[in-house]
Amino acid sequence: MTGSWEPVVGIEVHVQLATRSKIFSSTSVEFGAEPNTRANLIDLAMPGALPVLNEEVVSMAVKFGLAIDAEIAETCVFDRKNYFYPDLPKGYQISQFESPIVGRGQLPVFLEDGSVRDIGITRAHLEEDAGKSVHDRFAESTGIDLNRAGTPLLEIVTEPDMRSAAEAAACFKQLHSLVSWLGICDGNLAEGSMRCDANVSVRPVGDKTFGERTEIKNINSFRFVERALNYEIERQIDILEHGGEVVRETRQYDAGRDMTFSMRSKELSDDYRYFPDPDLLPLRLSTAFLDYVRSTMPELPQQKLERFVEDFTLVRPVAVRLTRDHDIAKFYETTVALGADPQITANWLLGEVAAALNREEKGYDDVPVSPQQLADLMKRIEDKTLSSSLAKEVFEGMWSSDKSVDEIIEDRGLRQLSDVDELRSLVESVINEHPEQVEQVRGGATKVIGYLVGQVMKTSQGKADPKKVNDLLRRLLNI
Amino acid sequence: MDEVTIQRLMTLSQLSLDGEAKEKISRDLDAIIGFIEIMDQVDTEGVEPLAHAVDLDQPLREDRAVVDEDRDVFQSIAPKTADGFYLVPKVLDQR
Repeated sequence: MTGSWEPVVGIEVHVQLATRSKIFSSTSVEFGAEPNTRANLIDLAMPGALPVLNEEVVSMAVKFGLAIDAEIAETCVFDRKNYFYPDLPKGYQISQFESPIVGRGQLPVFLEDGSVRDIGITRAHLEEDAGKSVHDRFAESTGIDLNRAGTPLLEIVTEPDMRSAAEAAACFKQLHSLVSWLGICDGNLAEGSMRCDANVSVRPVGDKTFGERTEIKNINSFRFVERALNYEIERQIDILEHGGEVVRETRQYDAGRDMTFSMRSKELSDDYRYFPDPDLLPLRLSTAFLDYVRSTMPELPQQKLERFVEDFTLVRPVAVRLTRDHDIAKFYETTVALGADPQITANWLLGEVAAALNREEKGYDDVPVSPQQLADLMKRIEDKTLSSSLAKEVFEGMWSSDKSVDEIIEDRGLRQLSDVDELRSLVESVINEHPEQVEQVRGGATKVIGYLVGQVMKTSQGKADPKKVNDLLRRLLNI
Repeated sequence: MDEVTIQRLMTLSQLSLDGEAKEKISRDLDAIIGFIEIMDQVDTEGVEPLAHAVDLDQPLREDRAVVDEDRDVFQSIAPKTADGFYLVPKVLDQR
């Protein structure tokens, strides 16, 4: 019956901004420091300590806004979101409620099938993170580590524009790729640099109104977003098909059991009593500031994609894959700028290099081969010094050493045989050694010529150029 | 200020009050609300809401990180600490 229900999903993503210091204090932001060694007077909410806004945080939020073509607020305000919890020293979180710094925008999301869907971004606002509660370390107490308190976050909220778990996962992935591309987040999901909440409901196909929704909190991987949502969508459909009602609530995803469960609903949880924080003045963004940020914007993935198609005559699916993340795009461009053929380089980066990285679980930011080495290899393929199988052997050699392409070619004697006399003598000896096949070829069985080419390749240890061998054979056998 | 509202405010502010203290705070809140009601009579039609009483812009700080080494000083005034953590009564994560 699942076919007759349509899921509706919107996500909220907390992005930890990659600044040096916290949003309202000069304390260093770093992961994994000793507990409470990165928490100063302001982070601890000592009486009289006042917050001062970090300029870089503002500029990063603006960058994101520009990248999704959003309205940037000329003036925005910071509010206090009031709740009590031991890891929130002030008793409130500084956030933005009524006037977010980034307004409505659009995010093109690439789906698995290669199509693109525009997902509406409702808003993005700045806020500070809370500290960390450690519940299992002490028998009688909860331990509080305030190192994370005051870490700058950009909370991005999408419209309920997604219609499947896979689309929601793709949107989360796209946001991940964009904020990494912009250099405003390190994108490290394992360390919690991006956390995703998802709002989900289902409705009969064709209905215009939304069904009652639930919110799944704190999902921190692409795979889990998809799995958690699939579970939750099935759960809701099951309830509705059995005549029940979906209860509006917050749920948590348990990856181990692959299911969502209701979090104890907190009494009055939505009563945060927001009001403008009197410790902070309204933030006004001058035209000069906006212009400055605009001038520091990198070329966006979409723009780069169009340029790759145009300048390098790449087919679109290849250009999409080369612009999916910043590191691969940079590697590609650097290699081509060093004189490598754009087409051959694209094939190699997405083929051999991708496979080798995959094998060693590395990313394009950590390729053991430099763009210079790869460019040199591409040139040796282009000038026919190396056949593609020899090139693969050289590539493996470069992967495990710092040697240049030419050094490896010399060391291993891999240079493709293109000396005509040498080739001719190889071909002649093969003709002499295989009179039976030669007869067959002369008798019209031209397919057998492939066997003879193979024999030449074998005696040359793969170094002969198969095309030249073929030509030479035909010439010597007069066919 | 009715009983339900007082109870709700107590929950929100994590306070446990009874008897005299509760009556006193109820009277104080009544007075405060009365004061707000007087302000509410002012005609604010067409007036932009004010986010701050001072007409200044937020100054920004350069993103320079500093590492303080004051943990021992801060922890010396905390009721309970261990292994660098501040200790509080056991809580369930229910945010």
